[in-house]
Amino acid sequence: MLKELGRGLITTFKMLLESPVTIQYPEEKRPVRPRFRGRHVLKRYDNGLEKCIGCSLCAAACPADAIFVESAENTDEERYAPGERYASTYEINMLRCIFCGFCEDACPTEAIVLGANYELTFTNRRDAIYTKDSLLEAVPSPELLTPQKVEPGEYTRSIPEMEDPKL
Amino acid sequence: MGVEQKLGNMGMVTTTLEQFVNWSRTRAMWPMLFGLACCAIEMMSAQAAHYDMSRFGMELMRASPRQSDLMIVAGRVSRKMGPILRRLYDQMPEPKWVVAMGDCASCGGVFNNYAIHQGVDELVPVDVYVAGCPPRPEALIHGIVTLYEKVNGEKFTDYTDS
Amino acid sequence: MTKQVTLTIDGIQIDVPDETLVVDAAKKAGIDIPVFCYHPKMEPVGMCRMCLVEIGRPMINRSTGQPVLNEDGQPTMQFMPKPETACTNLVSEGMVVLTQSESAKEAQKDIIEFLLTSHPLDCPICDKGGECPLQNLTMEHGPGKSRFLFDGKFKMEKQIRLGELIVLDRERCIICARCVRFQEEVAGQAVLAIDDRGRGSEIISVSEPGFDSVFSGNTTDICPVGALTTTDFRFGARPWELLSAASICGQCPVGCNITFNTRREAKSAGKVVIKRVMPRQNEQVNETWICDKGRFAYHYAKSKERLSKPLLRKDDKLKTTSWSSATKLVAEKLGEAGKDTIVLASGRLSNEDLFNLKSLADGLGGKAVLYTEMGGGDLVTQIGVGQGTNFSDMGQGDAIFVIASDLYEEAPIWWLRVKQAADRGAKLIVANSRETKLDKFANFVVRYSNGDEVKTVQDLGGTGKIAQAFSKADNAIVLFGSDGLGLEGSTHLATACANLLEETGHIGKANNGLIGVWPKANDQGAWELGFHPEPDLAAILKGKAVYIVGADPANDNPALAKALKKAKFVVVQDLFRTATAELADVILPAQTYTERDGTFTSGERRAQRFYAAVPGLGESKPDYAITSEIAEKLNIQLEGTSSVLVFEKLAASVKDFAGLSYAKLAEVTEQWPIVGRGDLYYGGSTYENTQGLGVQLVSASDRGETVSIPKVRNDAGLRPKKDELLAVPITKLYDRGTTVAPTEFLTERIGDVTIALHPEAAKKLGVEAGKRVKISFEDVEGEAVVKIDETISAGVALVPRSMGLAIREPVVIKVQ
Repeated sequence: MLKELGRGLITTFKMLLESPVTIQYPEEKRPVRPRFRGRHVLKRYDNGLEKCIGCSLCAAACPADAIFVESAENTDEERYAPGERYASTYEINMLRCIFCGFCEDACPTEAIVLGANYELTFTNRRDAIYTKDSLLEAVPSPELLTPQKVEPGEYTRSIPEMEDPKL
Repeated sequence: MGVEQKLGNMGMVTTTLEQFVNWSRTRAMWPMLFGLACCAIEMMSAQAAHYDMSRFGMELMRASPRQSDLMIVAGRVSRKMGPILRRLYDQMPEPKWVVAMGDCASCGGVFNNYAIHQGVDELVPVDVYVAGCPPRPEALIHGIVTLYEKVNGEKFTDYTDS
Repeated sequence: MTKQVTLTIDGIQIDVPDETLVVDAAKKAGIDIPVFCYHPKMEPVGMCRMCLVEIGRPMINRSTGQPVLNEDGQPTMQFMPKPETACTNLVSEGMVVLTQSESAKEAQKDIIEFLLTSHPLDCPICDKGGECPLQNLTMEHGPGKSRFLFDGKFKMEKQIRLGELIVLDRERCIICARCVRFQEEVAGQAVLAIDDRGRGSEIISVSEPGFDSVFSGNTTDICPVGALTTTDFRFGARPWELLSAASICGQCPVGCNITFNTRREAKSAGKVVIKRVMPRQNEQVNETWICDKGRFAYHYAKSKERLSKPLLRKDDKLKTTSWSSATKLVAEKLGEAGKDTIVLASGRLSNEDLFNLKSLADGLGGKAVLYTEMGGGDLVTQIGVGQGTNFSDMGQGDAIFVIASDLYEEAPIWWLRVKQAADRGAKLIVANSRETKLDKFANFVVRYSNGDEVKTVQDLGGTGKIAQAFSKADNAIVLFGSDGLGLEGSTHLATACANLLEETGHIGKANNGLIGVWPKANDQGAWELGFHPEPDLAAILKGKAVYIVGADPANDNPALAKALKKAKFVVVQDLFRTATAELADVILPAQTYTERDGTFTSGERRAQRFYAAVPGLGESKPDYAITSEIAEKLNIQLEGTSSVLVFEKLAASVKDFAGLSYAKLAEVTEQWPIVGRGDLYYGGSTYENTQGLGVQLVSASDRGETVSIPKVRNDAGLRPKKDELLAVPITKLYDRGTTVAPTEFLTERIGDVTIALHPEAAKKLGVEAGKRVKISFEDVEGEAVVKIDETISAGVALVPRSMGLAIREPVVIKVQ
């Protein structure tokens, strides 16, 4: 019995010499893995136009019914996204979302991407509904904000050009 | 923390009683075990060495509601569990707080069906909701920090009604 | 009786009449052959080649005419070397069809691959995505991979407005020509065409204004791709997000079966709203079509102008109040008035509402008055069309007589079905004082001068060629309207029509009888329940307590507005704060028919159920519930908790409704063609009817009772005197009524208020087409744009109803 006790204590004393493993969380943040799925971001093209075309496929794919999309028609005077359609309302209920990434898979334009932010705590449920404004990526300069006024006939297709597979 | 002033080198601090009380409450808030599903695993992890919630005064999870101040509801609450949760909450001494950990406890999550309470706020007043399915231990700690901010802002007058 | 033939499709043996197409026979056997261009309601063209199947016919020995038998004693089958189209081949005795053979499947796969060579892959933003035949058939039969190059795809225009209601995406079009053929064959208005040829083929509109047809919305239903979309629903929602609720269109007396698609909408502050209206199959009413008014003019239900709270007049100002205090006051005042109560209701209300209102009026000893400008409904209740009447059954040997009605503007689906009956060989007689769109399809066109309506009908009882065509017909239906007539004129006309039908014996059986082309959806129901119009309404309102429901007399007639001011107490129950409501002491907010359950009686006397689609607005309540609440305070027992209970009571007390119940109205039978199931490619995105076909009421003549039809007075109507201009009211499909005007994108179609003049009259007045003129008659003054119409007589001017000029009946006007 003493032997076992001694062996156990050896482990204990060994550990005493090691540095603590505790991560001092709020001050020190452990980087997340590259494939971690956190808070969503709605991406933009380089010219500032939104990638989201309001197709609702993310909402259809969502197993938790956390996404609500409503779309409207683009005009060249007020262009949000290339093509004819854009999301006039885009809402994600962060408390419903299970961060499965199905929306990311379903998106035909790679507009929605799950980011690295996991610090999502709310003091009421209403705050948990993220609107399009909070989900959209920031733009480097204000003239890239949507809606933009563009030349007619420039952005007529919603889905980026596809290419034939290279043989 | 409510350090208003430090008087010379006398080693004294003054503060309001309200702030002092709030400060003391956030320094030893003992959570009650309420692991119901997968979130409980993350809650355990938050309690263990790597995240060590005792850094926030949460020395240990109490199995008894009589000795706890904070209920962390970790997991989906079925209709059958509902009354039990409420009863345990009622058995906790005032002041008491509730954290809804994870999507299911917050609003039902993927389980949008008749068997699951669509959020524990149907049963008890929730102070902080933590999103995630399940939330990382860090997210839970973030929730605890959010709760502390809330507690620090509490006024005595808030209690006058209850 | 047609000959039955037996054939085998994929091993299933079925009997079908000969002259059935293989694709239809397969449908009956429960086998879906994929199609794009074929539609069961149109002639096959075999354009898309999607329905390729292998067809084998028994080999016939030419010398004996007998089938050649093989060793087993079975007929030897002869297959064509290549697959054939199932949509253009008729069935024949002993035929064998293989839809799943290697060669058939290969052919279908290749057709899909070929169609997709130039079809854009923008399903994510396509409105058809989710209910798209091309999408579904590609998943089912497609190759999964294309051998063609993306770079070779055609790039064409994506947004072409064919009209203000329909948008064409040229890139998505697969040139199946369904839309072109629908307009040509079904609607009889060739306003679309295919331009150019080969890969350059494109759909174009050949009318001015673009896509000038009131059936344009139907082309979006039958379009097998997302090429045609409506401006209304464009990008409105994805089909899989929509919920559906069955309903009956409340815009005209046809009673088209429709389905409301609803969704929660952020734009409407999170409320559930109607996103689109789709037709619901009822082969006896609207087949699978609806008109554009029914499809697009539903927006009034979510208008911001709607009343949501009861209002009470206090110190000459209308202030919001509670239901209990509002109904208490109304009950008090109506109770005080007792016999001096007048209930004024319109045909916009459901049978249940009208029944409760009538019961309230009867309970108080007051009067229940129908607010309408067209009479004769009491005759239609007696000799209305017989049970089992269906325009689709009419053809060779039958006759349809349309008088004083512009069906195209008043009841477009009847126009469509009457026109189709004429196409099948029914004798169509159109009588009107002006040219209408139905004339083109009529066998006989009778042009009378205004005032001669009664005489025209009486002439039909004579011995002329037209009269013979009518009286000798196996079945005959008379549709009468109020084109150019007021209440008095139309009452005389109805009497004349009823006499004609009785004399010629065209009553009391299916496909015979009288139909009123009423201005409102449920006018017929109001007549059935005992409502009658009052010839001189203004005279009886004075000093009375008036309970006005769903009507706006103050707006329609300045004399009535004056009369209402003299009334003792006015309570208005409506959707909007109308001009009449402004005169009211109490305003009660009612619900639209989209928000509640109920029944309508169509012009063909078919009682049909509609279901609640969206939650009620604010504190508004269904009309029947409000009435019962008032009645309760007067100790009159009415049902108000549910429309089912009201209808039960109604069925028990009104003879023609005897034996009917909500369950009975919800009964359905199998209909042909089979549409609206999973196979969207066959019949389009029309909904299948699973919520009830309705029941046609039994009329007195149906029961064989003797009917009493008053002898018509032979006095002619008002005629223009020399140097006078007689304005007569006509009905426009899109008017400025409260149920149409809130739909913003229809504004262009509604247009300006017009006055149509004969060129001579215009010359005499010194005005030209397009000029704005001042018009005055009685108490009314207004402006209108001059239109020239050569088909009317010189002394007559046509003024549309509900367009801002309060015209109700023929009246002498001054034009400046």
